[in-house]
Amino acid sequence: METFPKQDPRFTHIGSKAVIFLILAAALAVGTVTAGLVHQDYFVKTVRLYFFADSAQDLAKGMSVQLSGFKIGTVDNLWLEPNATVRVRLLINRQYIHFIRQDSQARLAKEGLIGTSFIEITPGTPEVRQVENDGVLKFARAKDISDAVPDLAARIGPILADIKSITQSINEPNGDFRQALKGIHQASTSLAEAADSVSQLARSGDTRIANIQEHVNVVLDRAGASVDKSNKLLDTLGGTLATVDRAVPEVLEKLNSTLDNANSASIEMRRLMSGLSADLPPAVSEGRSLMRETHEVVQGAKKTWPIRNYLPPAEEQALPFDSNDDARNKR
Amino acid sequence: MTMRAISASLLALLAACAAQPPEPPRTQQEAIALNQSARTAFESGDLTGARRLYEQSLAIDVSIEKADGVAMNALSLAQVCQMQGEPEAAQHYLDLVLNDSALAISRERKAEAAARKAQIALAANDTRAADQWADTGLGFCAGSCPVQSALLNLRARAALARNDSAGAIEWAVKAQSAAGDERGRAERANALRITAEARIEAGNQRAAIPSLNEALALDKTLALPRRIYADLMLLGRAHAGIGERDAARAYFLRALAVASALKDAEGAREAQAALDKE
Repeated sequence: METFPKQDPRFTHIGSKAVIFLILAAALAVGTVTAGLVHQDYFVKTVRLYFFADSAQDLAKGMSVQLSGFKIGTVDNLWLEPNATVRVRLLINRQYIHFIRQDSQARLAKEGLIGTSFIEITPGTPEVRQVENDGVLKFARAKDISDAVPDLAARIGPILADIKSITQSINEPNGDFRQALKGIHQASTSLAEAADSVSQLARSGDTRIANIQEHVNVVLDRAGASVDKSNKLLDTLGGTLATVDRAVPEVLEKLNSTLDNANSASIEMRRLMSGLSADLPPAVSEGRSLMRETHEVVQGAKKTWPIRNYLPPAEEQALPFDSNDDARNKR
Repeated sequence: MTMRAISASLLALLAACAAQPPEPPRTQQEAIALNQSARTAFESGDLTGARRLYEQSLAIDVSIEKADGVAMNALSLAQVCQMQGEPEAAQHYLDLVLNDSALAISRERKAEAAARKAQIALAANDTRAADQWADTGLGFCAGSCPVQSALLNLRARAALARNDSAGAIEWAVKAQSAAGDERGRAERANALRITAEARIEAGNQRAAIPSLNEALALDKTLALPRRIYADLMLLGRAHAGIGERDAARAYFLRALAVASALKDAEGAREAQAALDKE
């Protein structure tokens, strides 16, 4: 009997197992690398675009490139050019390239006032041709807060100066504001005095109203007497109207008869006119026609030989010019 | 045979005589009729009516671009406006003729327009402008035209207005020679009158009398009462100047009679004042 077996059973098929392990390890490594490359958009088809900036400040490799808020690529690389400008290469996902036109512009922007920087590309005009691989875009650096602060300070400065001068003007003892306050104070004092005067006037008014009331009573007494007289006058007028009432029917009768006469005269006139209206138009039209024919005959005769020889020629003539004509010599 | 031929010829001649001449178009006939009516109104002293009719005729002529019609109506209108005491309106119509370039108005008409301008300037005592316009007119005449003698007379009158008797006589003599034909008799009489007036102004009354007699004879032939009046007044002045007071009175009396017949109160007053002086 053997103390140790010639072959450990755990090592049976060890060769096959090692091969399988190695294959699995290799597959895992390849998978990890591939996933990394996919994550890095290594297999995405891209287009290279360039722009030139005066400085590389805030520009960095790997920066996001956005269009309308969508990430469409990254900053691939930066170089310092011989003329001290910075050449920046962008890698743009090919599927978005049709948005970028030759007049599109790259702009260094920030997410918020102090956020991370990114490159924003404006879409450009649709009528302009699409940018091609290795195309160059214009670049503009957006104003950040450090740019905005001096501008803001320049604008606020005059306002602060104005506020300062207004404050000084208010504090000045002989200034308009202090004088106006003084005036208001004096006005309020005068107003109080005026109120006293008004109350005195009101008291005096009461006394006068009492006097007026007495006068009014006297006037009303006299008016009562006048009304009595008016009543008598109205009685007399009533009698006169009664007389008129009696006379009116007679006058109306006469008026009716006059109107009847006028009506009959009008009827006669209308009859006469209707007779005339039947006769008059033909007479007028015939007369007109006769005149026209006579005119034509005369015109015709004027054109015939030998009458035409005795008539002045039918042509326009200017008035004769005479050097002795003036305002006084009218003929 | 001979009789037949003669009869046929006579018939053909008669037919030719009786045939109507070609008529102008209807619009043109209207312009002609209005122009003739305006002339009739003017001759009867109706200046307002004459102006209205001339304006209508002018409008038609402008509408049919009849250059000579436009010129004739504008010139007539200028004369009417001048007589109505509206020289600005007269100038407007004269400018229409003088400034024309589109219708090609004849140089003769432009000369007449310039003559009217000279006359208006003379009435305003602007003798320099009168001279300029008269020279412009003579430039349009370029040798000879119907208003040449009138233009020369205007230069003579301008000289007379400046008390330049010698110059006035010089221009009047030129006018007289330019008005040699039958149509220029009125201007010849004017030239003679100006000559006489210049001689009277220069104190040579006796030399003025023959010119005035000749002018009077011409004016009587033409039956122009205002000219006759002017001749008689000048004759009276000339005779008075040489001490022939009876003759002077006789001429002034004749002038008074003419002015009275014309109902010219101003002329009558002038003649009466001259009579009273003698």
